Amino acid sequence: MMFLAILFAFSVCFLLILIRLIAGKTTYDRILAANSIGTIVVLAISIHGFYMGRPEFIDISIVYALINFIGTVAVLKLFDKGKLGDK
Amino acid sequence: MIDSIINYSSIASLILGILFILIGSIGILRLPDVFSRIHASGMIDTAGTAFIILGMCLQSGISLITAKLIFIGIFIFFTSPITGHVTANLARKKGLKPISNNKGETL
Amino acid sequence: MITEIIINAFLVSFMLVIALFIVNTRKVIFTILLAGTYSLVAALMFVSLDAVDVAFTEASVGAGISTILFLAALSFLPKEEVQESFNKNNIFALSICLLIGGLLIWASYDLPMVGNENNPVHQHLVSDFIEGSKNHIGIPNVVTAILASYRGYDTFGETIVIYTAGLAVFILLYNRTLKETNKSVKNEISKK
Repeated sequence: MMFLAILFAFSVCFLLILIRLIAGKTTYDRILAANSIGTIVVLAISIHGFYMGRPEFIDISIVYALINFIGTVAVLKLFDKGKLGDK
Repeated sequence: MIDSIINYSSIASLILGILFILIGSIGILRLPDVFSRIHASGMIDTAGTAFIILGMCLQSGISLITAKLIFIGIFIFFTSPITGHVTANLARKKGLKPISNNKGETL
Repeated sequence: MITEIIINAFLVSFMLVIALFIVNTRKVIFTILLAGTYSLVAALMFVSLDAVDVAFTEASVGAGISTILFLAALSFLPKEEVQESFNKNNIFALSICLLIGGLLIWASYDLPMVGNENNPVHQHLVSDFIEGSKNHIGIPNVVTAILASYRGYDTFGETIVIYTAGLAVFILLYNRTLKETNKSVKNEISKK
């Protein structure tokens, strides 16, 4: 029951950050909001595993944490250099 | 006895973590510019994540799940400041100014 | 039961909102960011539907590699969408669309009901998998057995994506310039 309440609190936070992601004035706001949404989803997947009583699926959270960081850094690099890659 | 202590402390740390994450998301929504929003984002990524992962670790006891949770916690703890730093650096480089204080000086 | 329905309704409404804004946005990079978020929510939905392996795929391919591929393609594209003019009064195209759509809807009435256990899909190989997978491979979860072993070559690509992501993270975190920075700082201090 407690985990369900936490999941709902997560969805409220998700909604608040989603508003910033959609309405954000500059691109950096949006990148920041997307990164925070990624963190919240990582936590929500782990909590959901505990809620269903099968917390073995935390591997997905690890994958998300990896992919979220890589994606954010890729977006920022594209903004900085105008292209991906070395040259 | 010890079980109930662990259970209650886990609930307390989960609630504390949720509180931090809620404050952080309100901050991301309400604060005026990028540089101040990075503070709120950092609050989600460090304090909120750390407390929630501590709560889940206390729930699961000593097992492989705890090790994975600690790995996630360490990983987010190290990568999110890098993301915030790169964002702020790039915003500064592209000409965004932090909002000024009352005397009109940019900080 | 009812709580799961509420969770899924929340997630679907999030996905709907994000999809509407993806359609409305005019800048390509915001579309890519929103699409990444969309696929995050989709994977959360798959987790809540107990399809963990599909969520794994969505995480690695949908949120990870496709975002980065889109970004790499974006560097060759103009940053803003160009407004194209359409002839809105083209009766011929509209009638073709309506005709094909109507035909497809009509054909869908002949499909078997979703989730019925007597469907042809569930008669052919699935019974073999359900009975045999534990003896063949020894993995208790049938879906994991199918994805990781029967369709192992297919899943291999996703595994490579995750492995590459892990390697990239450690390359990014590894501080190559630490020694050089320390040296230069020491030199500056000694000069002063």
